Amino acid sequence: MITFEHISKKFPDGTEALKDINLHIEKGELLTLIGPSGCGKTTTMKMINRLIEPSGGQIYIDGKPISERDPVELRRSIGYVIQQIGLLPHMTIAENIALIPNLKKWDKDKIDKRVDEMLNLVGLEPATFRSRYPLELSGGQQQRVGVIRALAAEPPIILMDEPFSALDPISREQLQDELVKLQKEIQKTIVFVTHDMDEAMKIADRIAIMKDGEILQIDTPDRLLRHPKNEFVRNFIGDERMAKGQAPSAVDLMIRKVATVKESRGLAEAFRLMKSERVDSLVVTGPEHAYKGVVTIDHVQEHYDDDEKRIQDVIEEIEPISPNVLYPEIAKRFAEKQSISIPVVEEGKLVGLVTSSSMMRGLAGLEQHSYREEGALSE
Amino acid sequence: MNEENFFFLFIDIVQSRWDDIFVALQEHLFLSFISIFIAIVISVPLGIFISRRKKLAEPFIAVTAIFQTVPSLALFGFLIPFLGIGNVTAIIALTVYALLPILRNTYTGITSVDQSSIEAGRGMGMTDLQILMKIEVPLSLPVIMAGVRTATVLTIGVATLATFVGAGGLGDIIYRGLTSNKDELVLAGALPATILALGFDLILKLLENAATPKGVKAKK
Repeated sequence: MITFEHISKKFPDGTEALKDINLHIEKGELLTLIGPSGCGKTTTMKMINRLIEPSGGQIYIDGKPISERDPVELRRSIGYVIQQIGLLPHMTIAENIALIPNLKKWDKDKIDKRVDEMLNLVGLEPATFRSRYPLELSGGQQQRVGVIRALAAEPPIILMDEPFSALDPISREQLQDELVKLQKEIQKTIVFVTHDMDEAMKIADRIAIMKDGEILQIDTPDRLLRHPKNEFVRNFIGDERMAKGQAPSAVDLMIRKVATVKESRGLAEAFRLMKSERVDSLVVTGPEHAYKGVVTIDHVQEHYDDDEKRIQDVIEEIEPISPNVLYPEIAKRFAEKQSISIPVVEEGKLVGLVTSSSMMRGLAGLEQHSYREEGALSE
Repeated sequence: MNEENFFFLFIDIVQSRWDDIFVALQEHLFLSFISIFIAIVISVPLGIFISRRKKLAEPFIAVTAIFQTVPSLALFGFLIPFLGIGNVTAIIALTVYALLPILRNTYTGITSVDQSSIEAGRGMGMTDLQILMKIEVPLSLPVIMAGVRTATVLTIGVATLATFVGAGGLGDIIYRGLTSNKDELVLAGALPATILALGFDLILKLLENAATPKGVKAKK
């Protein structure tokens, strides 16, 4: 469908943006171009619709060199979606979607039908959205319109330049999912530029990893993960995946099945529970998981001989943390207070417990075990 | 008593000189409109042109700004040796005055159109002319109209000086009032000029609002 042959690009200031790019994109394929900023991914993409002209080499679409085609006519046969969305604020949603069909002089009935069809495709009710203006829509809705505007004139090729990276995380995920679903239906040839490895992994048939104007590796997501060609590719996949999500918080680092005891129980019962659960502390809770404190084996043993003592008498009030407290702060708590474990409490209710080993497991991205197995591992 | 007296004198002079005032008003409008029209015809395309060649923008705007700083009376006087007296001199002077607000607003309006709209337009296959007519002009029209409005109010005011190059206008009435020491006659010329300026300011303000695209207003 699209073939790059020995494409190079030198800017007037002497920087070499692209060095000998050779690339073949199949019909119906979704290819993502990914790499650190300045790697040439956007330049590569913009050459397909001649927004940037190569300094050397030739690009072919369906075997025909694009340098021989009129740029305006070429662009009308290629959908284009940009990060800043770029809807025309003075035109209604319907007018925005109808832009290219209008330039192509489709007749009015056909355009109207197409606009409705497109809106339905992304779940925007035509009756509601046709006559709205872009600024009355949320970012996610605007970019949905941006995508269907690119699809409206039925181009076989669509170029997407970091289309979802300016959106909030929830809208971004939604639009990625929708694109995957949509692509199954429409089977367009899509070139998608991104710097987000998770996004690329999620949507791409193939990923081209670029660096310093060269394609380092081009493969399916699976093969890329299994057989990274070199250290850079491995790090890029890994680093990006780490850098993308924010630092893990308490909710990622805690165990959820916590050994608990009611405060009215006797010490002998607590001792038996600790033995059977193989732990050296229990979280004390009241009705409906209300957090009360912690009892440790030291305290229980110290007062064990006193028959009258209950849990509530030996309870230790460890200051709990909320589920969204980030990893560095938790690590600090462990270091400063020499705590063995920190209860995680949300709105007064116990939701989990961070122990030093559950923290390790969480940081390593492993699944959390219940307290029992946890205890067996650490004690 | 004196104020009341002045009021009657004023009414009296308006009645007796009505024909003169009416002619002067027509001349005044004629001079102002021709000048504004010419200024628009020059400044809007020029503003679009310099928005494409930003290196030229500063010098062009600077030149029109210098025109603007020349005291208006001096400008009229300065043109007489070259162009003599009459309408042409007045219209040229007034046009020169109206250039800056329109040129600057056109340039500012066009260059402040959201680049992402233009990039999207170009990427989707709009020609340069289509980008200009369908994106840049509609989106910058309110700013351009604001420039026209400023220029119009300015020109209607400055046009009272056209009398000194023998081009008539309401300045004639005012000047006659000043020379004959009749305050009521000065007022009979100044008042219509003021009303004219305020009236056009209002009308153009409404036009400016009408020129603001609906979808852009929704944001505010």
